[in-house]
Amino acid sequence: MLEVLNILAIILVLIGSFIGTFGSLYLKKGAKNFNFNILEQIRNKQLILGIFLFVLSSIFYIYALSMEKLSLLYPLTSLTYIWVALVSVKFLGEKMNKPKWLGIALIIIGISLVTYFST
Amino acid sequence: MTKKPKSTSELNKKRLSSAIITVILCTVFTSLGQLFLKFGANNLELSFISLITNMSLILGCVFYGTGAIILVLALKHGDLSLIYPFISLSFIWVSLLSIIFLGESLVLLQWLGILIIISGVSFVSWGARSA
Repeated sequence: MLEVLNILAIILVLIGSFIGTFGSLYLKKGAKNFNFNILEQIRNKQLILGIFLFVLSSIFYIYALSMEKLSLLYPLTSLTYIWVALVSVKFLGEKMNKPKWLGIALIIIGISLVTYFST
Repeated sequence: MTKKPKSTSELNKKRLSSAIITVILCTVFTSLGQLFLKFGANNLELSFISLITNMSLILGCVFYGTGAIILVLALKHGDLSLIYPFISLSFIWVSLLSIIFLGESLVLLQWLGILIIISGVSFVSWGARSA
């Protein structure tokens, strides 16, 4: 049976994965105006927001890692692949199809295998 | 003889391929970053001087930062729903680097996992091409 601490760690990872998903969304939006002019990029609000959300999601993840094993938590982070596909459709108007969904399912299974058996 | 004008779908496929190559390059950089962060973490001391003289740690951060910039470049040219799944390739590079440089080893099911990740990424790329 899962203990309270396990559930808390799992919830933190899930919150982190939602935040990371929006990080990717804003990185994508900011990428449209990306160039190597630093003065311009520090005012690229979407890019900065994307980076901020990424860092924030890492903090949730690292905090969760202090409570639970990596081999349990890492496979959970791969749920992000599903959330990213969903926001790509909803907010960017991108199209998913069966091969793409199948690919994401395989990636999640693969990551789960690699990390579950890590020592 | 005049060159046949390229169709838009042909141009799109070319753009797609370059975005895919870019994100693969990104995963190579972030994986090298992880390797060097691991080296740096091995002799980590929490004092300012030893942090800024820990070359492996600094190199790890540089690789990571470069990988992040390359990711944004890939996102500029490709759909998020195509690019994001490719990030999973870093699992393969990190596994291989850990075997070569850290003397770690993988069990059979982990190799199977790597093959499944590769097939997953192939399906995503195929799906994006046929869309």
